[in-house]
Amino acid sequence: MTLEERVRGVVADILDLRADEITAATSKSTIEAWDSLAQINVASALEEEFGIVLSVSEIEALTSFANVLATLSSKLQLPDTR
Amino acid sequence: MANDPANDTASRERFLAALAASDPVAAGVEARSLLNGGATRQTKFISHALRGTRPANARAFRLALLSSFSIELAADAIAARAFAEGIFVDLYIAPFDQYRQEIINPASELYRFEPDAVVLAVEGDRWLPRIYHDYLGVGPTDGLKLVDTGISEITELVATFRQRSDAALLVHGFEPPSTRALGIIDGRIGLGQATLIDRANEQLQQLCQKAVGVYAVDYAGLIARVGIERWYDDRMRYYARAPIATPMLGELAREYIKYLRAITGQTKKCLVLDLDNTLWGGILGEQGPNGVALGSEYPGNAFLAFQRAVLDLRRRGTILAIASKNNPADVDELFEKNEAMVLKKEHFSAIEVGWGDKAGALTRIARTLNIGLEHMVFVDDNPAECALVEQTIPAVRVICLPSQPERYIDALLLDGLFDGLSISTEDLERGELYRRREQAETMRRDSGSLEGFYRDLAMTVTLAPVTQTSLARASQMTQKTNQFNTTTLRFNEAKLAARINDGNWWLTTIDVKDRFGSHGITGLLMSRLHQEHVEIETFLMSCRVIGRTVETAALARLAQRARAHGLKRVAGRIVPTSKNMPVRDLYEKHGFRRDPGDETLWWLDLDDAVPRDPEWLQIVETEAT
Repeated sequence: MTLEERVRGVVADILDLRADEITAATSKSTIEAWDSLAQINVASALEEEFGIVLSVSEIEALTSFANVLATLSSKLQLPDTR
Repeated sequence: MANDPANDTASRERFLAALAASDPVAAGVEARSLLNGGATRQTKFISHALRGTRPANARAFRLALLSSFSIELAADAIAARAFAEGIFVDLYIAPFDQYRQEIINPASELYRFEPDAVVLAVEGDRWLPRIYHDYLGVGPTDGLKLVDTGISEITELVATFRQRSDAALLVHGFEPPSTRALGIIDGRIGLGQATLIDRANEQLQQLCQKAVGVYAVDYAGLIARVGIERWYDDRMRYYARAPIATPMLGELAREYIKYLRAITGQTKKCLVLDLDNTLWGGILGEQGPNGVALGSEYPGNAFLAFQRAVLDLRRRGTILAIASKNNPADVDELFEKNEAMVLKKEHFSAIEVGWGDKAGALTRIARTLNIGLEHMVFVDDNPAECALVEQTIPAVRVICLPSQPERYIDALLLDGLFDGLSISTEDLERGELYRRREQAETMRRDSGSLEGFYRDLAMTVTLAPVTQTSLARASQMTQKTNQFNTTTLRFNEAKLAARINDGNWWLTTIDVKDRFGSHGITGLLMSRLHQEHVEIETFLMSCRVIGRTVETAALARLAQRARAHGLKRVAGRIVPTSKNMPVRDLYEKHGFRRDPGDETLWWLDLDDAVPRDPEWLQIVETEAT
């Protein structure tokens, strides 16, 4: 499973979407369920899944799937997968 | 942390299939397995799947959460874990920090919800702010008085609640202070900070003993079990008013569910134990009655400790039984000859030793003891035996022991499956509950106490025009406020700045102070002037200050200002969103009438009765903040 697939699975669980419904364009403005509460849940789920700790500013940036991937890639020191 | 993804996928499919087949018992087994890792995403998955599902026959358990923090994050954990334990929960979550109002107001949503149980999840520093945050400014003697005052406040709220509802009430105890203001000499000079909190917990426990159907949740004990540093997440405390770390919410849910299980009569009554590698280390048939591991050295000491924990359960009234694959004569011999055994043969009410399958043994035990399978717990170290029982008689709760015996006690006691509320006492108290409920009916009209609450708050509301200084805060509120927000229009600073100098706009910030301190700017009112009326375009307030009549004050002053301008009417609009329930009836409650042609638009005729200043508020209007 690629990093992107794992992340997609996490985000899908939190937002109650199917993994294939999530694209690079999926964001807070396209998904109503992606509110600030969901944002915090996405952060917690990513922390658990990848064993990382996000700062508040990193959590605040989790507003789109592209941003989630970017944050995680830099956190895991991987090349940006976008 | 995360489970094996392949297992998860299979388990999820079985869970969904069982749900679709209306088999909550089988779905519960899968849910427990998914929740084992405690992962947020599994919690969410289960909670989402449960939405729209209702138990076929059983009524859902109605649980209300009143909290001083953002407990919404725990809602999914509670729903998912309760379901995994066979309890379908309908949740009501009171708006953030509205616990006093919800209890005091006899017409609150809380009472309309008709809860079976209510959790009062208020962090200790809300009742005893100065003991937690200003211990050195208080001193030990006055500290004790503050404890008394805090406890009196809880006592009054509990009494009011009891007049209005006969639901069980779970009150969070006080968390230990995470640091000590005096460091290592806390408690050397008079009553230490930690001691004062202990006193508060003692008094809370006493109060709960005296009240009917009120229980003190041992919050300090819960935190101590995992450690205060793991329990709290200060990032989320300051960023989202959610002080409890997300992974710990499952533990909080687990604690509540112990009560729910007891309240719904699902406390387990009978513990059925395997023998080899469960009560002792090794195989009796191979190592003999004195060759098994049980004694003062590892791993025998761990098995011994486990036996003591089992014996404690029996002392509390749990029935013990054995289901073991062994020769009956060998087992008898061990009970006779192994002096290290804490558990004696006479402690067991039924013994099934033989070579048949364990599902059959459990069924026979249930029949012998006349106990329902749903009241039985089966404990075994062998995953294959556990899986067999889980599949053939899923009503039996199965605890599959971890591979290390030192973790057995935790596995046995973690979920509090055998915890009861002392049912016989409850039965005795039931008459008293009904009597008090009758009294409550006669007192329901007495709403003076809500006013009393407002007065006690000693609130000052300051209305000021938006200035360059308050612009950033005003814009931020339009971005962040979802609940009490009439139109949910978002504005950046630039857009707002343009309005400041536009004479057609009245822009007002609302600042609230009370006896606990200042909340700062927590509301915004933006209205546009027309020929004969003024239209409220945006009215929003932070959850922190709703339910305190601040909105009435703001509308009253707007009406006064409009009259002074010679206007005839005030208009307001409600644009419904999935979040803004708390604001939906705002205009209706304040005497506005719905526009005949536009159902989102409301009108207040200034010749009619208009909202008046609430007399318990001090209202200040300033030119600038």
